[in-house]
Amino acid sequence: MEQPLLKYPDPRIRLISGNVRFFNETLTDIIADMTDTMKANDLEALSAIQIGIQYNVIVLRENGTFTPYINARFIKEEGKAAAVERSTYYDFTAEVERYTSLTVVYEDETGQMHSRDARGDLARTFQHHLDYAYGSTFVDRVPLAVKKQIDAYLDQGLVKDNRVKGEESETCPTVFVRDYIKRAYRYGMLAVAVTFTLPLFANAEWVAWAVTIDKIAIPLVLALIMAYFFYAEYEAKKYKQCTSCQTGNILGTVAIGFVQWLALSAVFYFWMLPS
Amino acid sequence: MARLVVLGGGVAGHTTATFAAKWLGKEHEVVVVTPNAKWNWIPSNIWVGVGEMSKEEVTFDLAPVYEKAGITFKQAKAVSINPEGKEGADKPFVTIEYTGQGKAGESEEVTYDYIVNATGPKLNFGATPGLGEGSQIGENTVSVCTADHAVHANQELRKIFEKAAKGEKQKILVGTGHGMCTCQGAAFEYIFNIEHEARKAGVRDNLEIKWISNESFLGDFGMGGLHMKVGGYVVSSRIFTESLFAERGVEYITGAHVSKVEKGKVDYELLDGSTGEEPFDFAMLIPPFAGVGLKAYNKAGEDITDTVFAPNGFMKVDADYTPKPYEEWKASDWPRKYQNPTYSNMFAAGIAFAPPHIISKPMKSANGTPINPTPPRTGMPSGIIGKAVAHSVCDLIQNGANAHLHEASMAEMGAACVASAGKGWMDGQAAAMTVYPVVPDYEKYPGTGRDTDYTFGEIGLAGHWIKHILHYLFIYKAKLKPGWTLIPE
Repeated sequence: MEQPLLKYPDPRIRLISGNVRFFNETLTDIIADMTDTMKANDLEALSAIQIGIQYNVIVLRENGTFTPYINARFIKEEGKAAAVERSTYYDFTAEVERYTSLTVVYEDETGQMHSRDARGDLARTFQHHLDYAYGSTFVDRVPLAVKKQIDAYLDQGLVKDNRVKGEESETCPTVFVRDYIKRAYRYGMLAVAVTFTLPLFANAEWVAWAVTIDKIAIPLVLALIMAYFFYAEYEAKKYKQCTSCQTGNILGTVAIGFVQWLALSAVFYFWMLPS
Repeated sequence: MARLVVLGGGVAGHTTATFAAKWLGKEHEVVVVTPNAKWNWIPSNIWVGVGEMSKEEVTFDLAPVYEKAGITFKQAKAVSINPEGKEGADKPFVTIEYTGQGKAGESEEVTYDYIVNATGPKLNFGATPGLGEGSQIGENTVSVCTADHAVHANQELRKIFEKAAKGEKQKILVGTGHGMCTCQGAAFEYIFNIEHEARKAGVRDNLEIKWISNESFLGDFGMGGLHMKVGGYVVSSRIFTESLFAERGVEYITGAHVSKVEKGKVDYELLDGSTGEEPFDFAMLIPPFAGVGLKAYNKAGEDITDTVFAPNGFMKVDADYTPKPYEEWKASDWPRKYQNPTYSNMFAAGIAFAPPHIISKPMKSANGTPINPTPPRTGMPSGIIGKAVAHSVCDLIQNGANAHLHEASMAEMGAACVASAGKGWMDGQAAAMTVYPVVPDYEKYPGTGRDTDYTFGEIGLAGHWIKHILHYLFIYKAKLKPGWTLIPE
């Protein structure tokens, strides 16, 4: 049955396809749907994710016959040339550099392994379609400057990841509590910094009042930085699959916060206290 | 008083021993048996291999650290295990052969109540003709697997740079030396560090740098690929690494089994069954890993190595070793407790445990040669497993045989790898890649078996800084300096 083609800005185009492990009826159905979609849209090649199926299957039409290439890999890539490519996902074309010759290692619909040499346009078609299976389109293959142009040209910008905008993730929070603590101590430091301007124009009574406030605020900021460290470490353990290098980032943030706090304390000591 | 013997002092063994010693206190004894006098932060050997760090910066003497921690240190290699003891003595023991401490060559039987096998791998250079003999590297290639190998690699690399500086064209080949290697990440880091150094030295134009690997696609890294964020966009490690190779002008051969190494040339077989050869002036090829070759004997002195160890020499643990086709692989095949099924007081951690199967898609060449990466069990997973095993052993000792064992399945564990692509405080580069879980769980996450719902690190200078900070952090931790338990694995 014909399936709708994914169109920009559907985030599913960013899904990375799995290897086909079962060579069964489900696979036959997927291939049939892909073939039907190709006929209906007059396409020469199709990757399963282009119709929203997250498996590494490419179907190719050559001389009227449709052949599935399953779990394709490339070896012996050689030569490079640039040519204009069109994607079913976007409504624009771009010049992309690709290998001009390679060997495709793949499985057929029964799971038998084969290999096939491809050159020129055929090699390009394979490369273009295998990129879909790895959660990519040709925009990840163009120079950075071109990519930025495309990003600006598209009304919603390029699709950054496979998450639907505004949809909460089940496993990972979109906002960490530690970021609130960070914001709190940063506002605290800003408030203290603002009081440093008082001696320039306010009277002694106001300054004395500000000094009292700062005497409370500065230790409080330090306490918040420490609280940030311990809470962040706790959060990093709780959501350890959610982001990499959390500890590195936390240590860095704490170090920066501490240096800022030291500077703030120094200014307070030498500027506010004597006045 | 109970005695825990830990075989091996690498990431897994050192983590197990230090945590166990801390938790058990002075009432029980922890013994570490390792043939090396020094601890080595292996990930930084890459930088030794390009002359950016000295051997001293990536190693330190174990003896003073163990003395401080109250751990008995025996600089020796384990030869065999008698889990049932011997005639006339029920106590299980391990036979060791000293390599230092003034007793080199002497044998000793060390009895134990619990034993943790964390020997790491035997670098099986002998598996590929011309790569080496047994665990000894040959003369045709270099390696960065040990600090000494890395020092030698750098000496050879400098000779190549000198020739290149005189205008001679030189060819560098880096990758895996066999169809069933793991640790592609180390080779990946090394090739880009060489490229980075070559540009710094102004000799890049005279170098041809090429990658050869058993991965079926660039960026597989033995894990079937990872995900990362580049410039704000989530991409697969395949797209990222292919761009990096193109950007740095490094060519590649993937799906390759290196079948023979000669002076200045390798022969290889590819996934489509074709063969080829590649000349080189300098080659760093990672050897395949095997178990260290420990033997096991029962009470009567009969060889029971096959019961305790898998055929590749790694120790059997609570995994499902039934041979299964790819479609039947399950996350639950992977071990959770790392306990030997026959002898419950025996555990294995890190590379030393036998994995039930590989992680990447299994691939065979048209001639039937398996060409696929074997599963990585290094770094972060090693440390986490080591700590879980230490926890279990301590509970067994303190709470008795019915204690609940701690679990750390690689199918429920994420891994972050920060791969260096060049060292330098201002112009360094590193890529942070993450994967969760390490072993795909096809039941929980249909399709890829992975949860793609998490955020990622980025390539760039920040990545390099993190990598460099980790170097100091982990060495600090391994030296058991104040606050070491706060630093995660």
